[in-house]
Amino acid sequence: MKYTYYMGCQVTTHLPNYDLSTRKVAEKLGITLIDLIEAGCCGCVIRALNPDTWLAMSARVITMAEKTKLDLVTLCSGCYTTLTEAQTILNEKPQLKEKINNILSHEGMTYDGGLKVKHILPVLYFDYGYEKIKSAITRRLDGLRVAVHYGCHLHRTPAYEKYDDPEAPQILDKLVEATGAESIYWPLKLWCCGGMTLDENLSFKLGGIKIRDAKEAGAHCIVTACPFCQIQFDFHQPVIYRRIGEKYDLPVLAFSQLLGLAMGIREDQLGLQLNCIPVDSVIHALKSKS
Amino acid sequence: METEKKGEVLDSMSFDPKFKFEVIKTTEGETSLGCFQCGMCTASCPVSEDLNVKPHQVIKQVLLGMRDRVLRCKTIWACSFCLVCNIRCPQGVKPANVMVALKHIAAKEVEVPEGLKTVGKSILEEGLSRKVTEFQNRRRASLGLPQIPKIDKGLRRLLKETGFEESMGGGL
Repeated sequence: MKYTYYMGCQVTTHLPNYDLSTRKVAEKLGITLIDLIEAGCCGCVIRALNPDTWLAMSARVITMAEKTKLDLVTLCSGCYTTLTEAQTILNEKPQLKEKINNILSHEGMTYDGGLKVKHILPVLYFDYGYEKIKSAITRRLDGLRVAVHYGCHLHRTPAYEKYDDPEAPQILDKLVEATGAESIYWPLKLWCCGGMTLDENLSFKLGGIKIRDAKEAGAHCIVTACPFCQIQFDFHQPVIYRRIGEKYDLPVLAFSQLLGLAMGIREDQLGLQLNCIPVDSVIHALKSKS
Repeated sequence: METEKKGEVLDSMSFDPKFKFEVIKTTEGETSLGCFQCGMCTASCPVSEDLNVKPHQVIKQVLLGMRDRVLRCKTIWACSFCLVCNIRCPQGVKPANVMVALKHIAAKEVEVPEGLKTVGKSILEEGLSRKVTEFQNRRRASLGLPQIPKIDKGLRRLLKETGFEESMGGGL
């Protein structure tokens, strides 16, 4: 299996741990990833500023990916929404497509729109296969209580509907449970992490409410499938502590890090040392068993 | 900046009834007219309890033509585009996308929030929404990961041609 691998800004600059662990997991499973690091931003965060810039940037990423003739896989839920929605708009509005193609023509590019844009989570679950992932688990994480967090832009994006229920997504829970860990019930599971709001106070308030909820539900860690959420829960946890005075010390892992651990990949190869909140408690639980 | 007052009598002569047509012509605001004020978006919204003007009220204000209030209201920038309103709206209004359309008009005419200006600046300089530092590239190298390339000519030209810098209201 081969894919064009598009990380997006957040992973490229701030989450080398999510990047590294995904590459190692893919390597372990025999999935080849062809880098598209040179494509720049998909236009997600500036969508509100200038829709033409957004559509042109998204179309450019897609067109650059088309060269390899492989499906594009992204690690970022933001990129997933942005690229798939740009595709929908450009495919529905020929005039807009022509305008964008005029801009791209300076680089000798033509946006075609046929490329399949996928998120890494359904790629692993469906394309590679849940059963095959299950059989790749060599170090079971029994007893680990995980608060699963999908990220709004993944499960509520229209393009994702063919994979899962937007109001009750399942596939990350199943992957987590395949490792032997338990995906616990936590009331605010599908709430927004607050990472995308421009109002700082609101953002940290939402982040705090969610982490507290996971902790109170008895989670040993949060597992995410979105870089915005990973940054919000992990990097911003100490900031939230300073702002609202609550200390959670709740480890936050990208889902590829958790899968990697269960596949027996070394901790340093999963970038666990780069997580902001120490993940010692998770690793300790693992070691005490083996 | 918030303008809602309990019991306030509105002067409908100050409304701009054409505002709704301006919104539906934008790339993302075309579904606004379908709103029948059920309040599902507000009930589902994770930030609505902190807002004086609730999401469904913003849409009503768009339909009534309360242009100035809408473009200056905190709600449009507080929206985190979490999409819960979009999947639940019985009329297919996509309130989150309408907020994006309103942000776009507000950015041109009123102001761009500081956080978004920082992002815009990074896009212009790096081609990425986050600033790239030497440290990040050294860290990536130490992990055996490919380096983050500099913004290329093609992207610079794209930003120029789509008038990206101007869309920040010259606020950089």
